[in-house]
Amino acid sequence: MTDSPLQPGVSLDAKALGVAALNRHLRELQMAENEPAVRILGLMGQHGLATGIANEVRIELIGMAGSNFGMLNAAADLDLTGDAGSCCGHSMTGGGILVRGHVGHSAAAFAHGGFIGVHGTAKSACGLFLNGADVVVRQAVGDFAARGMRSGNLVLGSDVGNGLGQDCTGGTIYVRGTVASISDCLREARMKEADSMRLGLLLVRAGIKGAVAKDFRIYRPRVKSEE
Amino acid sequence: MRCALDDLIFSAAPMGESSVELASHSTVLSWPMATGNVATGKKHFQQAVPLWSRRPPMNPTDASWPAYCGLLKDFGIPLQSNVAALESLSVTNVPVRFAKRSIDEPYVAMEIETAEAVEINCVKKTGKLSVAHFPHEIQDWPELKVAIECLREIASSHTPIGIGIPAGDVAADILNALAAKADYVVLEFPETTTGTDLDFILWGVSTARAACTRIANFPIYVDAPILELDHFVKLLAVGASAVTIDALARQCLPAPTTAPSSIPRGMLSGLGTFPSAPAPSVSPLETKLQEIISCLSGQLARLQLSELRQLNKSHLRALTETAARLCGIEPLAVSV
Repeated sequence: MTDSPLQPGVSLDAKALGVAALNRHLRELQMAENEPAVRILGLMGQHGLATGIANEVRIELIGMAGSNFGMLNAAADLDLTGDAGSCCGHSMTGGGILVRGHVGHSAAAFAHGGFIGVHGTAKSACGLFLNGADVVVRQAVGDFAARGMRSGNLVLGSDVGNGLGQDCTGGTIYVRGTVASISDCLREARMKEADSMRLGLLLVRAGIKGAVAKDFRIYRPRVKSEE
Repeated sequence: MRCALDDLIFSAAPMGESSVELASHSTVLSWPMATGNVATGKKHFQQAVPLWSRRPPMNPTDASWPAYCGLLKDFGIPLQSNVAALESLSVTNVPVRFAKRSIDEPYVAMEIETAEAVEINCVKKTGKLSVAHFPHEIQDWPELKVAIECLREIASSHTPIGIGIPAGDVAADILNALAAKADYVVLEFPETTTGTDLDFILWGVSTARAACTRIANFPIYVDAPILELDHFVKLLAVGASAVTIDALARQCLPAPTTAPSSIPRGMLSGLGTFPSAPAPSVSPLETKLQEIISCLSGQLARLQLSELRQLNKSHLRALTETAARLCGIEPLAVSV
């Protein structure tokens, strides 16, 4: 046993503990598969919450998270009931982040593994330099989504702003709504069975019901010869 | 080619005092503690000598790499590198490691957690031109401040977090870096060595130091192609906290060896291992480094200073108007 106040099934107030101490406890936390999640209450826009967690733990957070929420996450399952600030899931390599609210700009920036689901909107540069992670945003996203994307899957469940896929070199983008403008380096592709299945699984993982794969269009970067 | 650095001389030693022998010289990376910090304050990174290596003259696959790293370790010179480049070295050859995150790269937990200092590089290179540019996910200085706070918390509270900026008129950037609670600044100069460029280096370092009025010994790491021993010492006096040895190493050490693919293959290759060439010696560089340190120690002793931190541009005199203007010091009075 550790002297950490964080144990599976325990609820804690983030405000009382402070970000540095809370993160330290979260990184030390270990839990078995069948143990209940840790609950963190009292989020008031603190920056850098739940960063750099390498253990397979389940954490439920309630309130508003600030910038860099879940940055460098490697294995934790973070479930946030509330909004998150900019750079949510920055450089994450594994695990999952579910935001049951809106996220700021540069969500999932440089993420090269894991899953990020957003039930609300995402501001500009969603999926910036995305490099292997799976990202689902249910509502509208801002300009320059998937900028510099290299690999992974970006599912956009509603309208998309200007410059979708600027400097994109890899990966797959699924779009359900209208797109204000698409970068020249993207092309619309035919939805294949495997794409449809993958999309369905991602929507289920994000807890999004009512959307079907046939409502989506699919975009991929042009190969060199097409440019 | 003569440059303004050559037109700077050290002022005469104070009279009537015996010369002071110096035991050690160090620059200290110190910074204000972050919110929620749990460190005691005794774990500050100590820079042993005011030198560092940022763009090594060879690849980690080259034969001279272990010897180069071992030399850096022996002198206490930090090396900016990734973890992979040091993995093949024996423990005795691993120098102090600085990490760098470029504008279009992700953070990597292991790189950050194991580094002695972490630089957030804010330089965008387009061809030969380097311009200041925030990392792509950051839009302004307040956001960079938040990123530094988060990084500091991940890296451990006693790891300095710095900002790399292209050299030039950096006064505003330095002030913003101070406001963002960066622990040090890296001034990145072009990799050229003409006289005009050395003048630019002199002006750039002087401008940066002049902007640090709020924190007197704010560390300024200079990445510049300096070759002459006295230029190192003069730049330290003008305001640099540490200067790169990369250009000097490139000059002293043989050109990097070619990849192992040059080893002949064919029927004879199975008869035995191809005799590999002996690793190039790094002793010319070692000699130069010792010369820099003794030159610096000697200069401090002549000025009767006990610490490197006491050395500043008030100890310099300019022989020409240009040199005086470039670094804002008194020109040497000429008797008529």
